[in-house]
Amino acid sequence: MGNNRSLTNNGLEDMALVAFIGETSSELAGRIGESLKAAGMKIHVFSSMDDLVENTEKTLPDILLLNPKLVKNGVAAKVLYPKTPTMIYSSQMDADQRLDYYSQGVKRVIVEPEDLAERVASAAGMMIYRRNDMRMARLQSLTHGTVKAFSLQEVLQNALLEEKNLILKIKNDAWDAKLRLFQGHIVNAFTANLSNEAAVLKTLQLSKGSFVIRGYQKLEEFSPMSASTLAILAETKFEKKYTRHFLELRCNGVDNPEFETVPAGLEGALSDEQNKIMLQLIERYRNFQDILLHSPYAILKSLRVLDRLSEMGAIAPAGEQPAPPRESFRESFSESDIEFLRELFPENAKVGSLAVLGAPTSGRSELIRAVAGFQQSTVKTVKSVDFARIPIRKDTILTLFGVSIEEAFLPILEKISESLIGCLFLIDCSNPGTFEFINYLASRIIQIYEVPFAVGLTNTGDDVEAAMKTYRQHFKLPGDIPVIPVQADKFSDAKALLYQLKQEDDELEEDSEEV
Amino acid sequence: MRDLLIYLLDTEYAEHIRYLFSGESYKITIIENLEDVVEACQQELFDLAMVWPASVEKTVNFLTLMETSLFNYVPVIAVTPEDEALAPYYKLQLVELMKLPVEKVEFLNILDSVLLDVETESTVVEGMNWQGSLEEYNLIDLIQMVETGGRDAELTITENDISASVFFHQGQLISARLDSLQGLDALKKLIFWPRGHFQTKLTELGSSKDEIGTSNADILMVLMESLVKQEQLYQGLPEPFDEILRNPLETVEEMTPLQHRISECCQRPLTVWELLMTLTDSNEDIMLELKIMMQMELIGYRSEVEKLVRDHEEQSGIEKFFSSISSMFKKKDAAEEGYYFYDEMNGEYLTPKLEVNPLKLHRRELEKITKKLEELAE
Amino acid sequence: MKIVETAVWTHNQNLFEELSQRLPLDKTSVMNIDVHRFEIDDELVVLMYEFRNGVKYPPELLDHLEHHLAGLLIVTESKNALEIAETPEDVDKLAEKLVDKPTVMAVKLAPGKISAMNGAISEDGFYLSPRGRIAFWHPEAGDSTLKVWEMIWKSLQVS
Repeated sequence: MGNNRSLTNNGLEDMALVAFIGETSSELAGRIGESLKAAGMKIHVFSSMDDLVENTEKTLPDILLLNPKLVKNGVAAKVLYPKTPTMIYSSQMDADQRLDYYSQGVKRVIVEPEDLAERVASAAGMMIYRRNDMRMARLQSLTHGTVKAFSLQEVLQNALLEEKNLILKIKNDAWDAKLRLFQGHIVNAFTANLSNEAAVLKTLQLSKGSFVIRGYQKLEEFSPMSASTLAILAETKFEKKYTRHFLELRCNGVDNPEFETVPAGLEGALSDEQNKIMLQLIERYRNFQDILLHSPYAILKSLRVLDRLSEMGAIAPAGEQPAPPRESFRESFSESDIEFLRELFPENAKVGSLAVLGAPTSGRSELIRAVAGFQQSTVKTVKSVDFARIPIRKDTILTLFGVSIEEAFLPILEKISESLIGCLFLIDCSNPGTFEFINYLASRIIQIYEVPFAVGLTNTGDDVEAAMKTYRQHFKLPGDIPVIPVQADKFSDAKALLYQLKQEDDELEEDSEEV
Repeated sequence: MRDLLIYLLDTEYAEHIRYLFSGESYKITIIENLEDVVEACQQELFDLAMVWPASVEKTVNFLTLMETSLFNYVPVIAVTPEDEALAPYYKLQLVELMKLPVEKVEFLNILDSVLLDVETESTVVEGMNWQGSLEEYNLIDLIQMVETGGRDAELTITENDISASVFFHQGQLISARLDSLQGLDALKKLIFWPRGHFQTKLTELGSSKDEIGTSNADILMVLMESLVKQEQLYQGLPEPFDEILRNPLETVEEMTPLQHRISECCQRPLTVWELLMTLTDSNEDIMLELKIMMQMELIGYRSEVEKLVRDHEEQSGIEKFFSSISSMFKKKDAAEEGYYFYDEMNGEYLTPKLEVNPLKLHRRELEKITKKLEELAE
Repeated sequence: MKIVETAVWTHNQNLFEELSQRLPLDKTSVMNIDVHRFEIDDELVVLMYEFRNGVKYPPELLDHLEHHLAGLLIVTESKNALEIAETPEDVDKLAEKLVDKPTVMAVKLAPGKISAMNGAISEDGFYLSPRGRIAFWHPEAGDSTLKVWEMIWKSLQVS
């Protein structure tokens, strides 16, 4: 078996390559093994899969040759194929079965009705040859390196000044690109979805990956690209600067953040095709660099779409709660709303706090995000307390506090009690088992804090009337606390609930007037 | 995108090949004449070559051509017709062997597997971040690139059995070694290496003592001057990797010490490059003396000297005086390396031509520019 | 993506700044050349390479750019016009390489002189060559600076 010309080119003179053969027929195994031994390999034959698997724990072979009769229960697929290059062989096998093996990770399927042993040994030899000798030949003949060690910009700059003819092939996992330079001019550039200028600019953004370079000879070239190499280098610099700016603005300067989509913010975003495509990429890759790389758009366009989606609240760096999207870009607190809220504040107070209480499923966080988003404030979460600061006038701040009643919330209320101007209670109607407990808590809070209260019923389902009826049956809160159904993530509902505080406030004024 | 070269031996298969590769990210170059293969490989970086439909003889011819033309780094697959016996192919330097017919999915699976197995990135060794051929990057390029990185690095250059090392501290070249030569002397030898393999290892150096004591800019200046001088002096000498030999049929009464040393080295065949690397004298001095010695016919091309010696031994005494010594020396112009083409028909060098697609804007694009300027005017 | 590349030769840096003050430019330096970027949109960008009087630029760079430049803008003041006419070596080399490219010579004049000009001249400049114009500008003379830029880019080839 002559094509294993040298199995030792890569300096493994003292280390013979090892082949495992999984075969029940000792005769067949022997014939395969003989040929491989002649090429200097060490052979181990196993007639049972269990033995074979056990031995791969001790010694990982350089190649595994397997009779499909030994392959059962998917063990091989899970344990063996990912670890070692595997060849399955048989004198007969249909096309579907062969494709099945390939899809499981088998490197080669040999089907040969005659001279099976020789065919298998030859195929194994070819596989060993290409993984060792051919790879070494390519390593020695081709200039190659990693992007981390030597930037592609340096390569291009050098090529420009030296007027080189080069072919560059760049790879990063499943993504690849090819650039062709003639006398230092980029004459050709391709990535999966892009060509010419856009392709080069995307390639130059790579922060990791590897490349091979080879000079070439040609007397003349035509370049479909108009841009000079200098222009590409300059534009790359600008785009990197822009990328930096985007990351600082949207991701606190994190180099390669992960993004996630925000369900609450998606609706408005999906009408635009570019948005849709970027959102799909975010779902698939999450990682910023990978999103940019696999985007069908040029770098600048991809960044602009990401920026737009961040602005809309449709995406956020993973782990952060974004400001929610606007239902309509025009809706927010009107002047009269501002006036109303201002009136909740004690006279001359510049700071006011509004507590939003509820069980975790009550929609408490969503309501705060809804209000904060329309006012372009961000929501922070600290130890399960959500809070958002909303400037309602230049010098007046309303802070919303979202507190879970399943935790020790009284100390938190105590802390904000001095600036407390109102309290919203959100009750999850889909969870009637908690009504008695909530009724008790609410009653206590109302007794302690003399501020306007309002109750919002969430998760009412289609039958709002029934929900209201259930509420009245189970809740006996002191005073006449207004209650309305709300969809917690809807700004208009949140506003309506806030207005219930006014009603309460008005009633208090009326009562006091009467007195 | 992968670049594939298909040496097509029967155009009847062209349609099937197109079908197999349709919709896939492969760029196929089909060559029907073996003579065109070398030119194709010179102009492209192929990831794979296929002989289709293969016969043993044609496959052997193809492999031999690839080897002799130094394209043996291109993996070759033989795709045989249905009735072809496979056994004769087992001894060939192939990365894969396929017999037609083959289903498209299986075919592409096998191809993917081969390409993955030969990928260079799979073997990046820890710390060896950049390696390649001096044909693409000479010493001056490499010094500049390491300098830009601003890191500690060891640059190793090897060709045949000769190896040299250059050390950098935070991008500054601090020492160089080639055998017993050090510093600038070693670098001036290295600058003339026309081919070889380099490796850079980005690694913290044990000692950062600057043995050269000159800035990179000054070093490069010295090296560039030296290279120009060496290239000028080299004109008229044999190719660096041509073998030369001392002509025993010629003697002189007096030789300079360097001529003596050259003569000693050339007692056995060696390449000009080996001579330059073996002697510690400066390349310029060696080249000058070698030129003189070749003009005096004391040294010549190995093949010619050997022929002369053979002829001399066969010829009778007086006939030796009439043997053509000038045939020993083929006049070779120093071929310009790299990117100039020699037009044999007209006897001139041609400079490469580039035609760039001139930038043309659509009316809409011009309107965008105008509109943008108008907005700025407001 | 399209990149419009313009060479700008200036007598001094202040002149370029004055001429471009109304353009929202981003600046960087590549291979010792100041590059100014003017973005039209994310698919069309103008890059201006600033070449200054008295600075030596690598000839390989000029040779390289020759194939790609869309135009040449020479920015000067009227007091230097004679010097330009005697053509300093650098701008001469540049102009020689770019002989087929649209060229605008932008001469800074006193604002009063510009406003006194005939409308057509202030709009379209003087004829300089088949693909060349002379334009006059001053930062305080209305939109004269923007007109210079419009002139150079309007002369680009239309497909």
